[in-house]
Parts: sequence; structure tokens; C-alpha cells
Amino acid sequence: MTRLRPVPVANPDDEEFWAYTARGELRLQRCSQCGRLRYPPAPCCPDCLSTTSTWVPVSGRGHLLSWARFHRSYFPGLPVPYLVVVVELAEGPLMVGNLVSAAGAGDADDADPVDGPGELRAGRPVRVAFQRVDLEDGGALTLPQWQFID
Amino acid sequence: MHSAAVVGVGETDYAADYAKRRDPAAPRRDAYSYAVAAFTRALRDAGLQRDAIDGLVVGPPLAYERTAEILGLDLDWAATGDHTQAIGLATMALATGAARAVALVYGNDQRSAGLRYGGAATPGAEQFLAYSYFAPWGLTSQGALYALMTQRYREVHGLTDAALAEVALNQRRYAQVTPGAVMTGPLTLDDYLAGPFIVEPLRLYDYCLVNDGGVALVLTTPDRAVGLARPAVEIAAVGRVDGNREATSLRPRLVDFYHPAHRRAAKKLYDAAGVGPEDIRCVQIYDSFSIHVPVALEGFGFFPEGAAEAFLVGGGLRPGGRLAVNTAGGHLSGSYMQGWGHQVEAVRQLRGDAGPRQVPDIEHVLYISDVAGKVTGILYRRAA
Repeated sequence: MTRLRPVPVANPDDEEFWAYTARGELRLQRCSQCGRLRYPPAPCCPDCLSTTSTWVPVSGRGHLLSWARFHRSYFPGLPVPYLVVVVELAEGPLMVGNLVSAAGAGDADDADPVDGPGELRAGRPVRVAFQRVDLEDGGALTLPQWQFID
Repeated sequence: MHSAAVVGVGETDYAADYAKRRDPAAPRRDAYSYAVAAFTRALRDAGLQRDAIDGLVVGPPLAYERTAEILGLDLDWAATGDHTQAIGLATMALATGAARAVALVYGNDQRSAGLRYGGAATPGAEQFLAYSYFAPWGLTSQGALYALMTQRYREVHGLTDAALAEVALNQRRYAQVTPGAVMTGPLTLDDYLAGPFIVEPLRLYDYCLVNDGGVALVLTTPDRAVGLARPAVEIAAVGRVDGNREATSLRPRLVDFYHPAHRRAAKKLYDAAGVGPEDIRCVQIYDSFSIHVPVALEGFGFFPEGAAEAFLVGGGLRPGGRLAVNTAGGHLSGSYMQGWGHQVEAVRQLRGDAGPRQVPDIEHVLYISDVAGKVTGILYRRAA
């Protein structure tokens, strides 16, 4: 069964983020003045307040920081249980995602959050994997997701 | 800094109202009706007439304009805020002379209204984007964010199920001797472990209740507090750090456990009051989830960073242990009044009104709230 995922909050600063993921690229805003990376996207740099930024590619490499498994359903299109992970990118920012299997990554039909992804251990290295998903409103989106690489 | 004293407290009948909410024939009540009941009790407790109140702070979902209209209050000053903001604002209003006697009033019909924390319409997402931002990945709800924090704490420092259970089990013991507490049945470690996961690693008993009710306090200046109906309890110090930086990134929560904000707020509080954690034996902590308790205690210096397991398993929260925490059952077993009820319990403990749960010979009660990184410590002290 194809899961239907919640529509992301409307945020004009996010539009470019999603445009890049749709092309299989993970890019984050970098402040043009002080060089700070920021995520989630925002209209100015929280360090120097510059409103100028560029979307720079990041490595897509990181490690597992924490995780939680949902047993309570909060969204009708996402049956439980499912796992949510937090990854710390090599460049520093934290990203939320789901673990996907190496084989199914990027496949909208079977690469949904897996329930038994192997040993969950803080520090396990991961890399980004892009997954096209269907949304509750009939639209679609490409999510950056994560797979173990060790 | 003794700019304010609590002279009256009032609460609604949490357990009775909880039972009535389960009776479909019972008449519907709204948040204002709970606020009215709490306010009139606080006024009576203080021995004050309604017209002595010239300031008002209400907690959402109430609006102060409508609250003042319903209660017939003629005010010189009014504001809206959560429980920590309410106490801060009232203290400042009294210190500046903007008001002379301030009522702090909260009412909530969240159970009756079927409020759900998490999902597409989760409350609080306007203030805290993390409650909704990660929904496409299925991450939502305050509880899930604390589940992530709990898992991270386990990975870094270790925290067993049996250790975390100490929070829920001890608060249930207190609830059993607190009039009006909602959950008073026995709760064993086996019961705790058999409780279903909501967002793993947090179980049912790690989550707060959702119930209806109201809370009110009356604050005045220390000189006006003398000679009223009940012993005054001073607000000896408030230490606040409004930590919002990088909140949605989850870094302050998952990497720092909010400790930089805890330490700064604690230092302000301890320095202002001239006391330290070694002087304190009774603490009330905002506990929407059990993990709040060890993380807040750690941040306020009650044990070294990373030592929650040893503190909890060593009986730090048990009867006769180092600390008496959430002595009315807290949000987990007593009543989920979003921190307001904890202030009433601090006052009762310092008045010596807490009956079988009374912590003997205490001079101070510390309250800690660290919701989403906004850390506030309030030190209550028995007036001389």
C-alpha cells in the first residue's frame, strides 16, 4: 500500500529546498556574508542577519543521532509502527528522516519507512537517499531519506 | 528581591470533573467555567473581596478581556501568558506599581474539546515549528520530540526503563495522597513496563494526562500580604532564559538537552536568592513527559551531567530520598494544568498544608519549567 504523507508546512523559504530534492540534490542555505549553513530554511542568517544566501550542495553523509518509533497514529496515511530518525550531517546541521533499505531507496512503492532496519546505534554512518512520495493532497514530493553505509 | 507574594490559591475538582467528562449526560463546560471556579476559590482562600483585584493575567486558551468581563473585574492592568510568563508579568506589575493585587487565572476544557497533541492540527506549532515542520517524515507531537530526547540521552549516558519508571511510579505515589488527583490507582514497575508505547521509547505512563480544569493564584506585594487569611509565600527569585535559538533544528534538545539554558537560568535564580541546590529538597517540575524530570534536575545542578540513572535507581525520588518532586502527582498522575497546578502545590508545601505528602521542614520550593527550551526557575519561600 502506498503511504500518503502529510503536506509540508507552507514556507516560501523551503520551495528551493524541495526543488533541489526533486532533482536528487541535497542543498542547504549558506549565508553569503558569514558562510553559516542553516536548516530548516529561513529568511535570514541567525548569526549575522544577512538576508542573502546561496543553496550549496552538502555531502549527504552523516551519522545517526537519535530515533523514535511511532506506535500511535497521528496521520491517516501513515500506518504505525514507523521509525523516525535524526541524522547529524558531516557539515553539522541535523536532519529528520526515515531509514530506507539500500535496495528500495528512491522507489516510491516499497521504500517507505522500514520497521526492522538493523541495529540502531548512535554514530552509525548514513548517506542520503531520495524517495519520491505521494502526499495527502494528491501531490508528490521528493524526501531526503537515509540508509546505513557500514 | 521580594517583589511579590502568593496569598491565595484555588483549583477545580480535577478527579470529579474527569469522571463527569466520561458521562455523556453531564452538561458541557467550557474553559471559562473552570476559570470561574478556580478564581472564586483563590479569592476566598486569600480572604480578599473581588474588588481588591486590580490586575489580571490569564493563561491561554482564556482571553483576559472575556475573563475580566465574566468575573466583573475593574482592572488597572491585564495581560496574557503561559504560567511562567504570568508569574513574571505579575511580579513586574507589582514591582512597578502597575497593579496592587493580581489574579492569575487559567482554565482549560481540553479533554471535553477532544484536543489532540500531534497531527495536522497540533496546538503550539505557531510558536514551535518543530511540532509540525517534519510531518512529511511522520514526525509530529510534543511527545515524539521528547522520545527522541530520551533515546539520545540513553545513547550518550545510559538510562534504563527501570530508572525512567521511577518518575512515573513516585509521582503516582504522591497522587494517591493528593485530594483531587486524577490517577490514583496502584502503579507498579510491571504495570509501567506493560503500558503501551506511544512513541517509543516513551510509554503510556511517561505521558501526561489530558483533563479539564482551572487554577488561580492571587499575588500581591509583600507588605500587603501581611495579615491576610493564610500565610504568604514569597516569590524569592525568578531565573529565566528564553532559549529559542535553533529550536526547530532540534540541536538544543537532542545535543545539549537544553542544559546551557538550564545552567544560565539556574545561575540567575541561585545568585538572586542566595541559595543553591544543596538547600532545596522539594522541587516541582513541568512534566508533560517523564524525561523532563531528570533532565531538568541535571540542568539545575542536583546531580552531575549524565548521572540520571544513578540518581533515579539510587532512590533519589523515592520517599525519604534526596528530593520530593511533583508532590501532587504532577502532570503524569495529578492533573495536566500546563504548569499552573505546580505553583499551587509549591504554595501548599510551604504553608504546611500538604497533609500526608507534606515535605517536612522546608524553607524553599523550586519550580522548573523547560518547555521547548524556554527555561524558567521560580523559587518560592515561606514569608518571614
